[in-house]
Formats: sequence, structure tokens, C-alpha cells
Amino acid sequence: MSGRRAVWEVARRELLERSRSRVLRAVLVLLVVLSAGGAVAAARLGGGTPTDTIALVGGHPAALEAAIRAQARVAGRHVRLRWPASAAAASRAVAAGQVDVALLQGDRLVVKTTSAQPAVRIVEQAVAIQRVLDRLRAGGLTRAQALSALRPPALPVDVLHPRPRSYDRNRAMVSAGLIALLIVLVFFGQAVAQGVTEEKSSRVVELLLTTLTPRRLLAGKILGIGLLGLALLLLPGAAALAAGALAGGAGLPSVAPATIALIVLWFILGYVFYSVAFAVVGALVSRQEDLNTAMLPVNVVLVASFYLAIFVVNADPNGTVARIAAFVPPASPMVVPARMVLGDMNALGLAVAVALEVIGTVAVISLGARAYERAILRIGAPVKLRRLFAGGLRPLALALVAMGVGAGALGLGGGGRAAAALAAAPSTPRLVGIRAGHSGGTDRVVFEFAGGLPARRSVRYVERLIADPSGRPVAIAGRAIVAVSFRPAVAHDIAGRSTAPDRVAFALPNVVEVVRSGDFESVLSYGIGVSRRTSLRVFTLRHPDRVVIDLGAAFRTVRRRVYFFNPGRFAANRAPFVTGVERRVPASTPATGLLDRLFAGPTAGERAAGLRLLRSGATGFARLSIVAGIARLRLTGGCSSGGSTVTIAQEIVPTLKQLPGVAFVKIYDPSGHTERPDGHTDSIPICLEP
Amino acid sequence: MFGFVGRNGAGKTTTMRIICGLLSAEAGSVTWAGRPIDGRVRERIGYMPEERGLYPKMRLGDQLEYLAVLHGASHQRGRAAARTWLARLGLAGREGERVEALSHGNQQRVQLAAALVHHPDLLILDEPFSGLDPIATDVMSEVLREEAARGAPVLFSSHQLELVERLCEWVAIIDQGRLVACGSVSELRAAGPRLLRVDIRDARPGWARSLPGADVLEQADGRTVLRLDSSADTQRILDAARRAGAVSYFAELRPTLAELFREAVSA
Repeated sequence: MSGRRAVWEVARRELLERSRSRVLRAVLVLLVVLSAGGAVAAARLGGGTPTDTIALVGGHPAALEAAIRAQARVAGRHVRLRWPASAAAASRAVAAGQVDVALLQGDRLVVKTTSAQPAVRIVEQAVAIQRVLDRLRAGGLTRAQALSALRPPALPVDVLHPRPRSYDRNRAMVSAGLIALLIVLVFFGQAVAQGVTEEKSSRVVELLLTTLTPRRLLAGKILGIGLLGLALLLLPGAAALAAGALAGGAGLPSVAPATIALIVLWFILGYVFYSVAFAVVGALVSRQEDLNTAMLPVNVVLVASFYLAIFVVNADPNGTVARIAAFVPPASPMVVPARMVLGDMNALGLAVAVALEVIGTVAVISLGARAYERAILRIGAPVKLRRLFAGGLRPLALALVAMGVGAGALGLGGGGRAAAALAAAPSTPRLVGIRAGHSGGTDRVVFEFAGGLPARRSVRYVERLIADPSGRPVAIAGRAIVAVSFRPAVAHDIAGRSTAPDRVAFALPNVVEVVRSGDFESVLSYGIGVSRRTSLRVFTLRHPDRVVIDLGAAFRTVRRRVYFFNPGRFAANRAPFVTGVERRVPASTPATGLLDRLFAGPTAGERAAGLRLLRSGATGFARLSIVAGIARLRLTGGCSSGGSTVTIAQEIVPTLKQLPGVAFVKIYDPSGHTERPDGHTDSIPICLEP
Repeated sequence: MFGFVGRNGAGKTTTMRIICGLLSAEAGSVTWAGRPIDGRVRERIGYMPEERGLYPKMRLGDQLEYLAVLHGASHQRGRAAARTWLARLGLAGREGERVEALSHGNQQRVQLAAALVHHPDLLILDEPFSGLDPIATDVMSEVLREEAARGAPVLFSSHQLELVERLCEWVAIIDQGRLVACGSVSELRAAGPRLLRVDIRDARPGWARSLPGADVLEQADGRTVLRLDSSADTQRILDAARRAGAVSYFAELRPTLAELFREAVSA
């Protein structure tokens, strides 16, 4: 019989006989139910917002209800209000559990047990704020002034070591995955040991070995039991993903499929590594009773690797211990998934860890198979290790030394990181151009890459464009923002020089400008400022590699001019110092469209022709109104003439005055002041005076 | 059919394990049809180890089918052969039972079925008769005879020498790892020592002493067994016997296998 068929027949027997086990079936059903249920629960609990029911009895200011709702929003909870007729009715409702907290006469709370703490805190804070507001208003402040005095100022926060989004949920996911991995490795690794001992103690092995070689018998056994283990890992994983998706998708972290794939990969590698060790142990003893003691060393290594991954790597995925452990074959199956999801381990590190694991496994197999061959027919007293490995100890020692040196060199210090960066650089897609155009009612933005397409692309509308990794808002012109992110991708070369523009304006109906918001740790993000929130379509093209984003632009536009500062004319002292360029703007909101395009700046071509945007410190505008021939707008982000006689006002005024309904333009500073707020004159704020 | 006898620890099981490839020989070689035995030939051997071994929790039918498949049969043919052999050995319809649930004797039958299920070209059975009742011994003998008759040589070891004598055409005796006798049963007997039994009523004690070429092996109740060498003359012994008394029985004895065995291993 061919070796492959022999191995398969042995594996087939293991699969059939073991899948008949009621224990295994029960465990499988239990795992599927638990993981699917867990995913549904996570979706329900994580996706939904907790709701508090609060009852109000007796006199209270009307503003209190609004304050309670506002406090609940701050606490991230929903609130439902009830108005029972009496304090007695409110108490009954609290006792029955229909109401979490009742507020009596605005100054007393009733709760059932102390577990209603969040609701109590919401009501307490709302009442406290209401009292402060009342006092401030009694002191002569308007309601708006009182509120703004209470609102804490939003301080910018610089994040030095940003963590990936949803870090904690990923960590929970990794922990769950590692526990599953440990259980399956122990369960099926020991199943291999028990199977080997069973064959040896029942002496059936003597019958089998007349036609099978020990290696084929061992390979078939490991394969068969491993396939079962894989099923036991994949079925609950698939059930969790499916249930999570059905229950709303919000429940599982976005890394769930990748984490499950990693766990499965490392189950296969770790299982082969450990199952050979377990098989040797199983062959050493003749009775099942002796097996537990004999398995102890293998179990200790396995469990120690698990604790290493759970406690050390999970807590500090980029620490020295984690870096080294990832490349030590017995520990890799547990440590690498944790480091991939939580730490900075990249594809190169993964490849090296897999390669070392394979080398370690080959070493274990070549030693283990020999030991198994020698031990399997020896019945009686446990076999001495030295006899089994005679002649094999030297290669083992050499392999261990080689692996140790490799792991040390790779894991320690900056050497490993530098090597990884050097090797990773050419393989990471690099953005080399951003283009845009219009045809047939669609604006198209094209991101062109060199070195392949980024594996992950995310394109969606956002309220604000946030800089990665600082977390600060990024100024971008337009009425809506599309956030685009590519991973892995960079927009710089190895010397740190930018390979694509960080801010580029387009003269298109919908797309106003494209602004870079991040180029950090192989995550490249841009924002696209647009005139209208329209439909999006994303697809990729090859040769050259491009990511294409189509944005609907089938609205009516009119052609108007935007005036930019012309430094050449200014230097030659030839007025006017501004030059108009044509833009298509939405016919329904031409003034807004023009100002958006003004703040986006000149296109690349117009810049080449010498035009510049003179910002005078402003990053945008707000409160644009056109009433009775007077256009008013407020600058945002800053305002300073810098001592110059030419300012942004010289650009804004002609840009707006070309519109038929605009006779005068009044520009306000960010705090709402201008020199001549009233009357039929143009007006600028003091900050734009030279 | 080939009988393989020897004292405990003489090396019978070791020899069989070497033939089956379970152990490697320190010296010498195993040949089959003139060629060294290899995996392809071993696949065609039906082996019954002395230490009986089957998967205790596996069903009989599945177990026999699996063993047949490992020896190269298809699943279908393996399943059919398993059913046939279980029926032939008195276990019809019990394919679904587990080995551990069977009695010792029935386990022995399954073990035989395991050796036969792939229609082997050569049977090697280590102590196939140990622990069998007389009826089971008859069934086993019958099956082995049939197998030999269909052309599959049967090599088995046993301590039941009468059985070996009855069943086997060929016998080998080993002692301390050495082959001390090998040949057809009649050849061995013919080559064995010549014995002469003489019964004399009221014999004069010591009549057989100093007969040329003959040693006294045993003498009791008027019966004397003499061991003859080549110089002995039976007619002169007959004369001496008649002088000693009335001779009621005088015949040359053919040694039993047991006697040959004792002779061989005590030498």
C-alpha cells in the first residue's frame, strides 16, 4: 500500500472512531452553542445602549428633564422618563423594578437596591447642574452664558503612544482565542498520547506494525486527531462569526476573522509540534495509569506558554519578553497571535516565527519519530530517554542553540526592528499620486500606488476628519467629509520624503480637496472634502495599482470665479493683487460653494501658474448669511493679517460680490466681531488690519 | 503446515517478530520465495501475535475491515471478508460488538479472523492454540488445514506437541536461538534414535545389561526400552531376551515428537 493511503487510512480510523465519542460530540455542541451565544450576547450588550427609567414626582423645573437627558447622554446611556401621579405610585414602580430611580419633589431619591448607581448618578448630577444654573442666572447671566460657563473647555490631547482602535475588545478576543487554543491543544495533544498508549497497552500495535511503518502510523494518528481538533476550533469560530453577523455585527471586533485565522494557523503549527511530543510520551509508557505523570513535562511547557501569552504578552505585547518568546517554537503558537493582534508584529515577523516553528517541528519530528519507533514495541517498565535519543541528542542540542541564537537576534533590541523595517519597506504599498476628474455626473478620485495595492481599504463619511495619531481635528474644506484609509500603505520613502501631496485642491463639481490626515505605522489616511454627501463607490484597478473612489456629482452647478492671491502681481505692485479662476459650484448654494473652494486653495495647475491662497491664519468659515444684499461670514481657526496690507479679505470680497445678491461683504473674526457690523459698507475685523 | 517448537525463551516469538519486520535481525536474513522479505511481502502475511492485541473499544466489523484495508484490500472487500470470517468462526451477526465485551475465547477467534481477513499468502501464528477449549482447538485446526490446503503456508508455534505432530508436515525445533532440528516429521523420526521395546514375563533382572550396541532407557514391570546404536543386532537381542524369559512383545519404537524434542533440547 502507498504511504499516503496508509497514513490516510489510519487518520480515517481516528476520525471515525473518535467522532463516535459522545463526549466529543457533547463538547462540540456545547462549544458551538456557547460561542454563538457569546457572540449574540456581545452584539446585544455591546451594540445596544443601557437604558435607565427615571420617575419624576412633584414640582421640578422644566429644564431638569433636559438636564437629565443631557447627563444620560454624557454617561453613554439612554433614559426613559415617567411621571407617576404620587410618591406612593413611584415607590411601587421602583419596588416592582419598572423604574430604576424616582426623584421626589426634586430633592429625594428612591431606589430598590444599590445596583441602580448609574441612574442615581445621572439624576444627582442633573439636579446639581440645575441648581448651579439657577444660581448663575440669578446672578444675572443669560441661560446661554450660564451654560457656556459650565461647559468644560475642550483641551487638545497629544497621544504619544496611540493604541489601535478597540484595543480592549481585541484583547478580550485574543484572550478568548488563546483559551480556546490551549483547550484544543491540550485536549487533542493528550488524545494523541492516549491513543498511542492504548495501542501499545492493548498490543494491537504489534499487529499494525506488520504492515505499517511506525512513522506512517504516527503520521496518520496525528493527522486524524488534528483534523478533529481543527473541526472543534473552526465550527465554534464560524458559529460565533455567523451569529455575530446575524445579531447585528456590532458584537464582534473587526479583527475577529483575522484573529480566528491566526488562531487556526497556530493551532495547526502548535498541534503538530506538541502532538509529536505527546506521541513520544505515549509510547514511553505501557499503561494509561502511567501516562498522566509522563505527560507532565509537555503539559507544563504548554500551559507555561499559555500563561506567558495571557499575562506577559497581553499586558505588554511589544516588550522584550514578548519579542523573544514569539520566536521560541514551544511558545510561538500562543505568543504570536497575541503579538500580531495587539502588538507591532508584522507579516515579516510572522513569516520568521512560522519558519522557526517549522524548523523546530521538523527537529521534534526527526527525534520524536525515532524515539517512538524504539519505544512503541517495548512493553513493561517505562523506557529510559537516553536509550531513545541515543545518537540524536547532538543534533537536538545544535538545533536548540541555532533557534536560541536566531530568536535572540530577531527579538532583541533595535536590530530586529531595523531589519523588519528594512525588509518591510519595499513590500508596503506606497502612494505615488492623487488624481481626480469628472465625467457623466460622477467625480472620480484616484489614489495610485507603487508596490501593490493596500490589503485593507476603508472609505466612509465622517463628521470630522481626525489626525492619526494625534487625534486633533484636521481642517478640510467642504460640506461633507469622506475619510479614506489604506492599510498597509505609506506616503513617504525610506528617507522620510513625501511621495504624494498632503493637500491638493480640485476644480470639480463635488470634490473640493483631498487632505492627508495620517501616515503612521503603515496606516495611510486621507479626507476628501465634498460639496454634497452623495453616493460612494470604491473599486481597484491594476497596472498601475489604483484605488478608485467614485462620488456622485449629478447636481446642477454654475460656473463662478474664485479669487486667489497673485504674488507676482503684488511683487510688481500691479493691482489687483488677486486673480480669478473658474469653479463649478452648486447652483443652489453658490456662496458656500465658492468659499469652500477658496479655502481649498488653488489647484496644482493654478499653483504652478503662481497663485496662492492667502489664509491670514483662518482655516475655514462659518455663519455665512446673505440678507438684504449684505453677505456676512465669520472666519474660523484664527485670524491675523501678519502686518500685511493684503489679506484674505481681498480674496473673499470679489469672490462673493460676483454673486447677484451681494452688494456688501462683512467679515467677522472667530469671536464674532467686525469693525462695522451695521450699514451699507464692506467691513473687516481688526485682526485683518495691517 | 510448519510447526515451530522450542522451550520457553528459546526464541520462537523473536523469530516470528523478525519475519514480520517488528524486530530487525542481528545476523542472518529472512527470505521468501528466494528473495529477501520486504514490505510488499509483509503486507501479504497474516500474523497472530502471542500477545493478543485488538482495539478494545472498536467494533468487530470495523476493526477487521480496518486491518484488511491496511493490508491493501478495498473497504468493500474488507467489510465482506470480515463478515465471512466472523460467521466462519461462530461469531455471525456480532460485527457491531466491541472486542472488550467478548469472552477470552471469542477474542481469540477474532484475533484469528484478524490474521485471515486479508486472504494472506502466508500465515504466521504465535501460539494460536493456547487458551482454547478442545472444541475451539478443533475449529482452529480445521481452519488452519483449509488455509494450508488452499496454498497458504502456515507457520505456527505451540507447546502442544501432539497437536503439532498431528497437524504439521514440517517441524523445526529451536533451542537458545539455534535451530537444533528441522525437517519433515517422518524424516525427523527416522533420523531419531532407534528404540526397541521388549516385554518379558518374569524376566531375570539385569538381562539387558552388557548387550552390545544397546543402552537401557527404562525398565519396569517386565517392560524394557532399549536405545540402539548402529552396531546393535536385534536378532542377538531377541536371543538374549528369550534366554531371560517368555517374550510377549518385541518391536522397534518410532519416537514421538515429544521424545524427539526432549532428545534434541537435552543434548
